[in-house]
Amino acid sequence: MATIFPFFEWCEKTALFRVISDHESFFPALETIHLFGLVLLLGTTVILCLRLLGVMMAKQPVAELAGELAKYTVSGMALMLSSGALMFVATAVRNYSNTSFWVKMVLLAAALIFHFAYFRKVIRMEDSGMANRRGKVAAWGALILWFGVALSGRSIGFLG
Amino acid sequence: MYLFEFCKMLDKSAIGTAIRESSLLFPVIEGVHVLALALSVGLILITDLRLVGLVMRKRPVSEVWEQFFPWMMTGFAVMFTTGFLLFWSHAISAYNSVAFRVKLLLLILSAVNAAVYHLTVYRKMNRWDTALVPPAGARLAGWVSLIFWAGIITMGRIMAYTF
Repeated sequence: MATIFPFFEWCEKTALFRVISDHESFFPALETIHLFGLVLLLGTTVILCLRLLGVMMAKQPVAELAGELAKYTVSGMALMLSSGALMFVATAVRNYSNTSFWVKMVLLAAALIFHFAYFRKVIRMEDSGMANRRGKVAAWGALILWFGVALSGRSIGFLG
Repeated sequence: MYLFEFCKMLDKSAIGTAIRESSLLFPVIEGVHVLALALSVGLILITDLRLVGLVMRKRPVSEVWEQFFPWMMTGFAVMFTTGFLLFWSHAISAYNSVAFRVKLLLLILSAVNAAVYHLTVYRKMNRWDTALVPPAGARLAGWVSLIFWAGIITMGRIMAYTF
């Protein structure tokens, strides 16, 4: 890991870092946008997972529901990643020695891979009304990974 | 001033103190409060967007509402429980926080907005249930709710900086 520490230091030498740290309300604004993204991304993911588990919107085919919600899921992801990247730049050196940060990054990578390599494929081809094994694996996997990302993210500020 | 005395009593109580001073209790309750946003506001967001006519237009409004309702209420039960515990532990700071007062006001206004919607346009729902874009009254209730919830989240985040 030591080889990438210069990158963390470099982040704090950028103009972007200056701008964010010079304005008191910039960071809280980024956190708020990050929460808006959470509502969009995790909200739509929870809906799709409840549907895959067969406990909500059972009359609507999964693929159709997923298509309806797709733009909100993608918008949420875009808001989270962009505001998250800016918050990272503003706190780079502190993040380097923060265990929760590294846990979050590992879980985030796992959640994104799971989402694009498995979850999205399952919801796109699932058009039967019944919950099945593949759908349940996709639902529980997505719920555990994304809520894991959110929880470890929250603990960056609390536990270090 | 009675309100301040009440906040002071909560703040100084054994439970309030225990949550505030615990290095784990406060972060855990706060973490659950943030995570439950997905279930509470996440689901209300989609029902509001249906009211506004932007999502799931082929599904009757009543179907979306009935299907989402129990899960949304579960989310809000978690939000209010954890929120009250957080308030309990910082009642004096909350009392003095403008952001907290605005947050409470917006919560009350959200409830009023929901009540007005239920007493007016909702009563004639059989006439517009399957409409791709619901009538103006319903769309207004949806937009107002979206704006209020965005405000509630924003105030909640600002509050943390005043404690």
